Amino acid sequence: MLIVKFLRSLFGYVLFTGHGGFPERFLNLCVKYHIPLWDLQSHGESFSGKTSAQAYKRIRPVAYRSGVRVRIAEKHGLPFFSARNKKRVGLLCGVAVSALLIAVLSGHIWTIEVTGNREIPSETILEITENMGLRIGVRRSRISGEVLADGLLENLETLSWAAVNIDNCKAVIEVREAIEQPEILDTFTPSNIIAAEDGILTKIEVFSGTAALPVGSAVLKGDLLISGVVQNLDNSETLKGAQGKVFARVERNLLFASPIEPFLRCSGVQERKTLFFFGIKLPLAPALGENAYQTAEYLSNGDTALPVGILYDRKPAFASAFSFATETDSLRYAVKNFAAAYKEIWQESTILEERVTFTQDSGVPCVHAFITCEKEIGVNQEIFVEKISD
Amino acid sequence: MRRQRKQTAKRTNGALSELTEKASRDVPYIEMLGNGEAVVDGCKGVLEYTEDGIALNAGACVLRFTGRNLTIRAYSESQTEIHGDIQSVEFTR
Repeated sequence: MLIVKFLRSLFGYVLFTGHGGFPERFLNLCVKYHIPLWDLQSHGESFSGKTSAQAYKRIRPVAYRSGVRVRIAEKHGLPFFSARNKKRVGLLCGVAVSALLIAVLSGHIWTIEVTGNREIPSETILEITENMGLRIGVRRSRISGEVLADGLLENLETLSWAAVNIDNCKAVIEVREAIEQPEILDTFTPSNIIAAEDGILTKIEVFSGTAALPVGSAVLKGDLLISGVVQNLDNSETLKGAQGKVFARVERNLLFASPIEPFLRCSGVQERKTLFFFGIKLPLAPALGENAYQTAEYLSNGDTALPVGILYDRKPAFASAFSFATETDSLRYAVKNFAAAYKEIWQESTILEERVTFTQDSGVPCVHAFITCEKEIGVNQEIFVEKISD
Repeated sequence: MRRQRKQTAKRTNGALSELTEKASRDVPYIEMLGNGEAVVDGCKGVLEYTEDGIALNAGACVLRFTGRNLTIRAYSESQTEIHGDIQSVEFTR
């Protein structure tokens, strides 16, 4: 029914009214002369109905023969609309241009969406597909989903499956990430566990190998903690990959002060705007050079973004000769650096004891911290064995 | 399998011949959807057309629909579609 309504609107139709005469004869004659009629309504002495614009031209003889006086009440459809607006050239041009734009742009990709990725950033996937030709503004006919999917699987080994579906003007890249292979402990290569830094041993857990030192021993960086050489019952020796955990009490001496000399500091952001319209980029300023990063703002209805927007290239700007104006600012700078270092220690070890003091060193405020913590200090070191052939 | 096909063909031919026979008997073919819509095939003309009653020449008989706000939604040689509050359908020879 919808297509019938569309065709009627396309070719134009009229609503007419009929008075007097013999309406029934009028209807029968209309059918005889192949004049289509629909939505006929009787209103006592008169009646109304609809017919096509072309058929209405043939209705006069029928009306004359049946004695019915017909009048056009309303005109509908494209022919009447265009006749009414034929003097409005701008309107017609606008309609033609918009129809042309829709026809041209519907053959291009407007948006690209990536779904199914968890660890791999969407930007990485988009970069790979862009190198293979899938970018905003490209013609749909130039894109092959299978080729793109194969290319993605070739370039990203962490993907287990990929598909590129073209849904009208939207390209949807669907991926599934492979489950990462668990790390297999190498227990066959002969190795020792040595100290990564100075400390006093607090706990030793040996899984494979022989503990070289007892708990409470003081060790220096590089000292042997767990040996990969295991003595058998018959006093022979076997080389194994030493496995275990060695914890030690470690001391940290931290000193933070603000720099006396002027230094460079990020004082602002340089920005360059680029207009983006269906894949065409129009920069409004010269390029910013290295270290610039890009963000984009697209025209969107909240759900779907159109490939029309502004790209922002931003680059941090460094002003020279910056120095702290007040002592409080200097102290704040030192405390901020101390907090960052403290956070790092706290994340990798268990803090047992801490002493923090604020001092003035030649007028410069300093933060001095003495921290004692417990952390794992053992690292594997391979034992190089020379293989002698028989 | 071949027998099944033969039987299906026989049944189809039977149904077609039945339909042709019905069409050639000069009787209207009427479909009604509740009392709001009636589609009449084989109508030869409109004899009466008012808001309260529509009479159709159905060849062997006159078909009269009575009711309220009756309209002819579509009218062509092959089919007449009547809408409205149809209260009765009468066949007169």
